[in-house]
Amino acid sequence: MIKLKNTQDEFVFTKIIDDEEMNMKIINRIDTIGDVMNHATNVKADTTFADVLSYEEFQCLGDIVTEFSRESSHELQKQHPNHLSRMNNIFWYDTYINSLECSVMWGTRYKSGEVTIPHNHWPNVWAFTYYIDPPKGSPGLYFTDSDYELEIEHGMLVLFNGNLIHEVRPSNFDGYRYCVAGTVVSNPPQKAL
Amino acid sequence: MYFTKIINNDEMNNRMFEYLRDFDYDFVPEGNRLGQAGYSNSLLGLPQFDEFVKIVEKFGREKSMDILEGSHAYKDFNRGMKIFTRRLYVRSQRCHLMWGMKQSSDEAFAVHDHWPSTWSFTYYLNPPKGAAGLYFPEHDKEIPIEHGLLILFKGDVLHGVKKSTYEGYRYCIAGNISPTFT
Repeated sequence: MIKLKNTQDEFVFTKIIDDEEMNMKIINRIDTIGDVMNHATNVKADTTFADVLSYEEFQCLGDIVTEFSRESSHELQKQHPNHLSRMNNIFWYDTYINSLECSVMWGTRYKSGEVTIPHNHWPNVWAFTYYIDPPKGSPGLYFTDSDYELEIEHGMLVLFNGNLIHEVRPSNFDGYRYCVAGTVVSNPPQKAL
Repeated sequence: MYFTKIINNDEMNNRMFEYLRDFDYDFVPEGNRLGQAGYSNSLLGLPQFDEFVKIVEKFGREKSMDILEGSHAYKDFNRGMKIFTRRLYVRSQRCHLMWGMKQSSDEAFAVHDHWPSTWSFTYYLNPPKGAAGLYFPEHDKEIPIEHGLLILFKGDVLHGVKKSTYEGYRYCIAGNISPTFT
């Protein structure tokens, strides 16, 4: 194995979602399910199973995430001149962009001081987080290798490369910090060129 | 990060080389502006390449497992989560696209990547003396090529082929691997 230092730029896409009915249902669902993972994953806070997409309100968020991941993937291609031609390539688009789909999603509820340890979601193409009513003083999303903390706000959807290491650092706040997280996969069909 | 492996299977290599040598390269994929190379049809499903596909997929899964086992998140998972992750992201990996390329002397291939594929690979059969290797511009590193060399690298790694002068043709098999979700 040969290990090389990667110097590639990373891109984080954000979007504000204004759907209070969906938000309210998501919060209620996370509260109802409670903690079923016993802090046994990288999230050291209350976490649902990763099967919440079966609920209507999470499916609604999943549809938004899928669409946003396709839009963001389109934008990403503009970052390299040799990739611009892909945007007019129907075969490439169908294989790699239109096959992007929100695959897995889970809900989390942090209390003051709780953290998520550094991790990534490779080989998922994208990972995302979504925030509902974050309390004042609650931590943002920290991208470990870039030493960059993204400040979060109500209704914010954050989409980033699945191989980007991220974490939640401890901070003190009142109430709960609700976050829905998940992944987006590319599901390319086997096709002829 | 990339991984290499030499495949010493003369029977398989000869089968694949004969197919690539005898192919009529008159097809250029829609929208391709990366180079002058000739492209074959899809090689997936052709009996000459079945054995190779299995080797490549296995190599991709092995290296994926190495990466996962080295990650903090995976180490922290309980047994059930580890099984779930392996099944979903490693065992499901398939080569979903594979093609052959034929390049002539002085033909370059522009830098590009294969995002959002998890892995990409190239494989070389009887490269002419002096033919360029596989160039990774972000690391300014060129891997010299040789007969039977498989190079596996992450799909988002930029790569290309520099212009070089040689006799004959530079044949290469390339493809992409990703988990399949049903």
